[in-house]
Amino acid sequence: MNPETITQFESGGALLRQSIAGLSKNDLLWIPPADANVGLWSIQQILIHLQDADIIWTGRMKRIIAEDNPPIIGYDESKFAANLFYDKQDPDRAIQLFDLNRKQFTKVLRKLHDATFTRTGQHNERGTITLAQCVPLMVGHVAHHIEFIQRKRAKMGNAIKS
Amino acid sequence: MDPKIITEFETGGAKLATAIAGLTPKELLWVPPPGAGIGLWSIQQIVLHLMDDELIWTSRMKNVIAEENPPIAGFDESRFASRLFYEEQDAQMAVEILQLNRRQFSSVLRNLPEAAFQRTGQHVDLGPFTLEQAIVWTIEHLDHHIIYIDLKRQKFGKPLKGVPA
Repeated sequence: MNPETITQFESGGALLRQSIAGLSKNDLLWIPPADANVGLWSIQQILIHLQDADIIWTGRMKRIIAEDNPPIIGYDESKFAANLFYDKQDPDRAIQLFDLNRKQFTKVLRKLHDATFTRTGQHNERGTITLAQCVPLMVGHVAHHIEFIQRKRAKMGNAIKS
Repeated sequence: MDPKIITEFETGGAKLATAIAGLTPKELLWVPPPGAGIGLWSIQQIVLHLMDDELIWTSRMKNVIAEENPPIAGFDESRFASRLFYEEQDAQMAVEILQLNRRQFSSVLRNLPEAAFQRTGQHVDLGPFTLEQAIVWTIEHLDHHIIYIDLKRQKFGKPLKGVPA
């Protein structure tokens, strides 16, 4: 696998931290109006969603590396967001956990032979997935949500100036 | 659920941090000879196993809370230990991850109504289990491994009872 993709995966936590810099608790918990076209979740919900999704996906990747074509069962991200008190979890802790989990798993990814990235799992909704697909999927997942964080920031007049 | 059990779950990470305090990288990586009666894994392997196991079990508990009696896949802990470069991962980072994950998930547990602890999942190998059982297993699992960490520490002349908590 392209080492740049692994580096991008590794730096996801830093990107996420940067994306919420300077936001207040109220900003994090702000739910956009449905017609604002900036997504329906609060920034806090996005952060906790990314924490939960990354822990699940790194778990799946570990199984794909260690086991032979393991069965992988989908989960309901909307039910997670609705039933796991996303508003009451700690957003800073979520980013820290996300960041360390990626840094730790990056050590594993960097030790793997190229052939390992063609290993597969059987997802009950997506079908066959390879390790080589999972890593960019995780990179893209963060980028996708950061785009919506930026749109929300712009809407609340708190855009990141770059 | 008894709030004391949730506090016990929450503070498990600190227990593990204490259990590996003062150990050298060499001691962490020491693999006991078979027949020594102190387990076959190095302390480092135990710590990484606990990190991986906890991340999977808390995710399962999230499934059980959020979904209706979800199917839960197993995982092969021996293959994880032999194929995921446990020696090359960072033991301190693993403890920190476990600790952050338990603290974060404790805030979810504390917000649940009493009835939620009887919610169930269907584990492919273990069969049906409740959220309450999963919390207790997770606590016991860590305590079980700390006993084996201590047995190894005693071999190094660094028993756990001499380590300030």
